[in-house]
Amino acid sequence: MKLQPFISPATESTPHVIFDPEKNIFEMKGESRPENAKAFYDPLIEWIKSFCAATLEQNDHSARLFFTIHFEYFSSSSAKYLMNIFGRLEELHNNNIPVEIRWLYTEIDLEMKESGEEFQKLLTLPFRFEVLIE
Amino acid sequence: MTSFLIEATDMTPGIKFLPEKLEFEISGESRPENVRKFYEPVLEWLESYKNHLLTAKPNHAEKLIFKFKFQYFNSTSAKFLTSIIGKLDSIKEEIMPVEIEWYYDDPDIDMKNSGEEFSKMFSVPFRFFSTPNM
Repeated sequence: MKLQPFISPATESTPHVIFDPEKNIFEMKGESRPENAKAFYDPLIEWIKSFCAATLEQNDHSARLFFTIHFEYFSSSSAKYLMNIFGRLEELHNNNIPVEIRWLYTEIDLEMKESGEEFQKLLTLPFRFEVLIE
Repeated sequence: MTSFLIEATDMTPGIKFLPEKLEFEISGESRPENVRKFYEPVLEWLESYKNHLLTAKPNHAEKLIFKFKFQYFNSTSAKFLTSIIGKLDSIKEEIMPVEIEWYYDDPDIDMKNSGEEFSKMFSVPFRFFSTPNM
């Protein structure tokens, strides 16, 4: 069975999310301060689980998967879910499936860069930092 | 499941996993020459332990206690500790209560901070203990 794309439009408290393996687009963007972080992130993590299982099964090493992460803000409970997602992607990386995090931050938001670096320090998953000049 | 024991050296921590007692401990120094080579068997053991728990369906009144008693770990080791804590996190999510006990030498605030960094990234609960001359 083919995995349907995961799409969740941005709200004031939740990020815009598009995970579309067919198009090789994986993006999370915006704010993440859901009132109920579990309710927001559980379905997303379920999707990532299925995606990782399918990707490991296909064992396709040719396409590089870029996960583009561009937060203006994320809450501390969101951070735990992000770590969960990255941990699962790291499994792919450990199985030699090319996957990389593109961590975007705006020029003035060095704190967001540092948050990305915290994740990078704790993971073997490759991170690439890109600054957006506004 | 049989126990998993590794004697500590100057460069590598002691590992004491006693599944029968639900007691798990990593202690000492972690600056292995080849970090992957040291930690991979540990992670593989934990993975098979998790699979064992999935079939054994432990009593929910029981709690798995995992103790970290580090004097020092290098930055590459930190990435593998993330994987270990990630596995514990998934055991806690899917199988049974888990608690991490993070010990640090009384004046070693850096080691306490490292534990706090990990606790921020995972949902598994951490308890902190300062010990004089661990």
